[in-house]
Amino acid sequence: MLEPFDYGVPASPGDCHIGLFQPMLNQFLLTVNSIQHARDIALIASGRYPLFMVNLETADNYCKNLIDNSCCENWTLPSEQLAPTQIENYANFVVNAEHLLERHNDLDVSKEKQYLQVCWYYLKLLDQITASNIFGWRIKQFMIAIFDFEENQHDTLVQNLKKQVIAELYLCKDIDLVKVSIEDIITKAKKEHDLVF
Amino acid sequence: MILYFNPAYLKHSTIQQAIIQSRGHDTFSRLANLRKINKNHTAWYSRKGTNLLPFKSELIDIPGFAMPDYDPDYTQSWTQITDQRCHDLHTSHWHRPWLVMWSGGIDSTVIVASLLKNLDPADLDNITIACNPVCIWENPQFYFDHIMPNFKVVNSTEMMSEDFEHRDAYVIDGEPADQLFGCAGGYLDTLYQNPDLLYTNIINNKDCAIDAIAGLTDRPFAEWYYHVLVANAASAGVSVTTLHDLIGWSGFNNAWISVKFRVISDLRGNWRTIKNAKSYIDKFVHWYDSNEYQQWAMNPRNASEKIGSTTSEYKLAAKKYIHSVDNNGYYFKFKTKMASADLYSNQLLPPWCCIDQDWNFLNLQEHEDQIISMLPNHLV
Repeated sequence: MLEPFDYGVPASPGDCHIGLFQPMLNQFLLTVNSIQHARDIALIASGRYPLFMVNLETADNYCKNLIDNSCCENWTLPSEQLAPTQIENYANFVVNAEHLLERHNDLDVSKEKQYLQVCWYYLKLLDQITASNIFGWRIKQFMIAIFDFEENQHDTLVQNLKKQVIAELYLCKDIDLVKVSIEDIITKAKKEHDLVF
Repeated sequence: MILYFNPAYLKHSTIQQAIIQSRGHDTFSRLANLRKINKNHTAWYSRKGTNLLPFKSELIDIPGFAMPDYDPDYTQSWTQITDQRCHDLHTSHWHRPWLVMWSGGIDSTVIVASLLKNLDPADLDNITIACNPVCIWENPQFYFDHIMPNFKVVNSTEMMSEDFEHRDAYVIDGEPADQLFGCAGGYLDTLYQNPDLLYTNIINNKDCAIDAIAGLTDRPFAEWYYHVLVANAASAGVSVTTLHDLIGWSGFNNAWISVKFRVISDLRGNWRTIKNAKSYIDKFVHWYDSNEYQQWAMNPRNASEKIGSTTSEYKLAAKKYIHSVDNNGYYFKFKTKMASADLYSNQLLPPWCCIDQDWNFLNLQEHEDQIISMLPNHLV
């Protein structure tokens, strides 16, 4: 399997199991165990195609080891569950799967699966960088959103790093070139700023 | 005389009473059901063939609202028509700046692609693109690769709050493209869940069509409207054989006029100051409103260029055109119609109720007696 790779199954108690479903290809392209990451990936990939967030665990045939990122492209949903997303609700709702259907096809989606794995990999890395460099990040974001506090310079550096990396992923045309570009951005941030990695 | 009645006012009790008193419950019920088929594209003015709808069609001979006679020998492709449209507008409308409304969707992206393909780079200085972050989200590659380097850009949300009456530019938008491609808005779920159903022959299997219409309205109306559409298309000399043809004809023939007024029929934008529809008609250019596009839409040879065979092949001809300019395989393969909520549904009435023969907007606060006295004559 190409690196980076994550099976995308619940790892700890309380984890969810969300499938990212591509409605035109009619197959899952990624499964993740974090709703926040599912939402972020659906938004990042939306420059290429829409992805619906699907709660896999509600399917009547769901069980452990049924679906993960080694085989998710071989699963689909009943057609009645495919409904168009409202633009204003995109990445803002989760479809509860009623049943998971096996789907055999010859379409090679390995490139897209790799792209989504790369997106997830960098989201996890950015979470770690944020956690290591901004104490109480979510609380700070909440306070900044409702009061006129300004971000300190150190926090702004981390936010700018995140913006650059996500913009690269969002506008990605060539995954290999984008990986190089993101590594350059991270290396530069490490070198020039006092950030903990 | 009433030229056009704003569909949103059908829910007003004074209007309901006037229609029921004048023509009875059946007429009112048919108008209400016509509105239910697709609220944003209300199908209640017939443009061609025998008019079997409740309202008279007073606008059908006026350019911008008229449908040309069907020419089965018309062979121009979507690409040829789109290139020609750009050149024609460049000849007829170049004396003012152009403000192009770009949503990131297929229809308005064709417009910008056509400008890039057919105009000299120096000409692009005369053109401003209006969009907002949601539009850019719909097609980010096109924005960053093609719009940002070539055009001035303004925020469409802010622009809509500016005074329309005093704007010098021609405003160009992507209406009425849905009417050319078969009006997916009314059956978007079917497009996702069972696109094959759209190819059902509705002459041999009329229950399929009646079921589809009844799903949006009610059974007695669906049976009536099925026969209205089939008879009307036959009288216009247009071929309607599949479910897609039938729903498409409803939109193409019956919703076209409503769509032409859609921009000023709701509360979006600063239209409240406009007293007369003529300035809107003169300044607003609907890109797809041309005889050539209409001929293309009527020709059964182009059916497979409208919906293709999968969800993402809806508006295939338009997507091919965009791809020839931007070469974006993802947009070509995966972009499809997305639903959008009616932000102003049922909450507030638009500022005007109807348009009279002098293109004046009439509202119920000031012109109730006039509207109520003219309404019976607007009904068949």
